[in-house]
Amino acid sequence: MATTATITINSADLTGDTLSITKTATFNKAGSTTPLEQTTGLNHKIYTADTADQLLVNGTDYGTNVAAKVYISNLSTDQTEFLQVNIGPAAMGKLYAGDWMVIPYEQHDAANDIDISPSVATKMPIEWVVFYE
Amino acid sequence: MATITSAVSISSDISDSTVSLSKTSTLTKAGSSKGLDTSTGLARKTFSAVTHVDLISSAAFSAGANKVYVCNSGSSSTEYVTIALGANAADGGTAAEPIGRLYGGDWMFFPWDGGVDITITPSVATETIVDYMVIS
Repeated sequence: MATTATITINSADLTGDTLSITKTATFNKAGSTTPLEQTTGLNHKIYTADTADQLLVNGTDYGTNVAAKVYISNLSTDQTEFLQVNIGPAAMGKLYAGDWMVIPYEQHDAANDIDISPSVATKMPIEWVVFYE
Repeated sequence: MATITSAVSISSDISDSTVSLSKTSTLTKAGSSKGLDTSTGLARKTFSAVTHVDLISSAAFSAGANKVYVCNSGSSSTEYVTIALGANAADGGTAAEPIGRLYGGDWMFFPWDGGVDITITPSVATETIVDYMVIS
């Protein structure tokens, strides 16, 4: 079994030369060539409250000091709406409508939660998945 | 106005049914349809000490819908870099919050509001090569 993730970043007009980056990663266990074996599956959730720091992924749900990977996408189509993503106490950034992210997730302790704060209380759909050991 | 797209494709056969997802987004400024138009370019840096240091300093960027790409360009399955958000030790901070570890070949792509530094700590003192780029 294997899980692979490929990113492609392209732009024909950001600079004078075309920007083209492609990279494929295979998701393996920490310090190993053994593939990750578990997943939450692709979750689809609709947020209807703009409460700050709503728990998305608990900091120790999937082991500690591991090589988990997390994908999150904001499925909103309103370009003014965003999800603020925080890792523990640290503010990471805002996922605007259509944006996605992939990060490694160490889960070093219970405070290492992934929290999100929707910008609006109207329906904001997101998708997320965790691949873990 | 530049047009920059980022796409991800994830395929997994962990479960009985293969999971395959793909997503493409056009990178735009905060709350706008205008495209991001500034980039650091794809930078490469070699680290040779197990030291917690800045990879990307927030001082050079404004708040916004910035995007960050980081890749451990090595091939080791045991050596990694820990990417964190916050102050590094030399800045007097021990409060950096780890995001996760990039082993050889791993990459990450995430939104960054430019409010805190992005730091890095290699796991070994031998050479670790990291590629990174900020689009802002």
